Amino acid sequence: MITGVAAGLGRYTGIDPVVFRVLFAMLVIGSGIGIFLYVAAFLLMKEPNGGPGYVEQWTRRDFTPEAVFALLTGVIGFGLAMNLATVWLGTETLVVGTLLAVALLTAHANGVDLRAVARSLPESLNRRRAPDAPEASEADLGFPYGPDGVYGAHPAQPTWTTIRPAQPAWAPPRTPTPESASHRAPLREESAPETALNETLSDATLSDLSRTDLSRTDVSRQSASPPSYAHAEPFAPHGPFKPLDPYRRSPYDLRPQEFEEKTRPPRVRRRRSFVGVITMMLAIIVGGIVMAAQVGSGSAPDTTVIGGAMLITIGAGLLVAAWWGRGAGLVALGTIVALAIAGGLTFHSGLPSVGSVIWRPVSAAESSRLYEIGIGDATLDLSGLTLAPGSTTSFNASVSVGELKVIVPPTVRVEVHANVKVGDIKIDHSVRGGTDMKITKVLDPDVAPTGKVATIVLTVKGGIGDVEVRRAA
Amino acid sequence: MALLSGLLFITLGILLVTGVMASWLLLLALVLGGLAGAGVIAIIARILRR
Repeated sequence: MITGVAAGLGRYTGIDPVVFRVLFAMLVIGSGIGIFLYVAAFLLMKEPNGGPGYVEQWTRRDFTPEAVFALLTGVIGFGLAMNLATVWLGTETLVVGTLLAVALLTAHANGVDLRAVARSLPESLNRRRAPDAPEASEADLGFPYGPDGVYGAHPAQPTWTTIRPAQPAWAPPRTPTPESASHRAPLREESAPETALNETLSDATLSDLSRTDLSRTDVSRQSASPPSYAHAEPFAPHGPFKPLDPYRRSPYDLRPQEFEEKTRPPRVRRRRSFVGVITMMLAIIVGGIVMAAQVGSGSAPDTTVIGGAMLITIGAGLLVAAWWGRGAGLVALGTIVALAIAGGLTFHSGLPSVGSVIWRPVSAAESSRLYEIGIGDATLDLSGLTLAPGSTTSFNASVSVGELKVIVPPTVRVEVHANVKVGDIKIDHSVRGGTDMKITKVLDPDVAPTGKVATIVLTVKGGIGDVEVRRAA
Repeated sequence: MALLSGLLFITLGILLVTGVMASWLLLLALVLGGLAGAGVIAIIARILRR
């Protein structure tokens, strides 16, 4: 309805486009991945006239419908991974995960060999198309076979003018959808001469309906009563039969040489640019100069500064390359350098600790540090803490993955601010479990202290795991 | 894409050299987010130019 994506998907799969629209809407509402999925589908699918899609134009490739579906599945999978990384098991994750599972099961139930599609994906994505190929004609798209059954013998006259609706030989091999069947009936009843049929179907409409490739539908040409899908469906639009799985092709790979040449035209190479090589050498030289300057000044070489200088050089090279339009390699190089710097910073700031640890602070002065562990079990035992009467002391403790237990003295008032992404929060005797929980609770002293009551403000954070706050015995 | 990525790398490089940025997480987020943003803008610009 907007760009023809759902209609194109529906036409290819034989499923009502409304189903795809509902699925897109669910993914948009349930998780933002729906927007990205729609944009990806718009960019990956072919043009309404059968011409290459946007990504195919940019990459000079010719994607098979299976490859497009696999890429779209990859987009959903990426969204699922993002949801798992951010909210873990939230509503968004369940919506995306359920729809992904339903999509895969539907494909499997319809006879799609998912493993074969995955195995053939590299080849499907690397299929090149002819440079500056003319827009797909009816012969390419609809009828590679002539009226007398000879492959490639396509007459100058459009083939559809010779088709009568009553001719079963031209019926599509696929099972017609209810929609197509319902629209076919009136045309079969109409036993009008060829001229009447010619008036009914325009060239453009026919080219839309006669293809089995995965393309968008031209919304400007969608009429209120779409004509039959039975006309001019191709019998073998991509040449002789060839299994999708490359491991099973050998008995069928007997295509004539001319067909091989037709499908794999030589690629015209672009003029080689030396900006990338020069920039890379310059970046290495600049990095070396900065390192030499640091060593010369008597300080240890700082990899962050060296990497930063290299990054500036690569960025400048990219600005130059933008003029000549060959900057993809430098973008990759800059990304690698930036990731290397991030890796170096990780070691500077310290990797998350792993293991089991027990902290036993005894004075309020030890409250300033952060009690933190990456993966494992941690216990913050405050039972031996000595606090001044009426004082307020804050403690911060966190665990990324694992269990965090805090033991507080029975004579103090405790303000607990607990936050757990996934897991349980147990404060004294109350337990709550779930995702992304934030609980604030005040525990009055179990035993009345001598003098004014001291207060501990306890901030505990947990990623995946349990957090427990309890009184010392 | 090359223009925007170049500007991104220059900015990140300056921040790293001057010591303003010391968090690996922030650097990672800026690199990935910046490249993704540059890619999206490049795609939109390409579509608009057609």
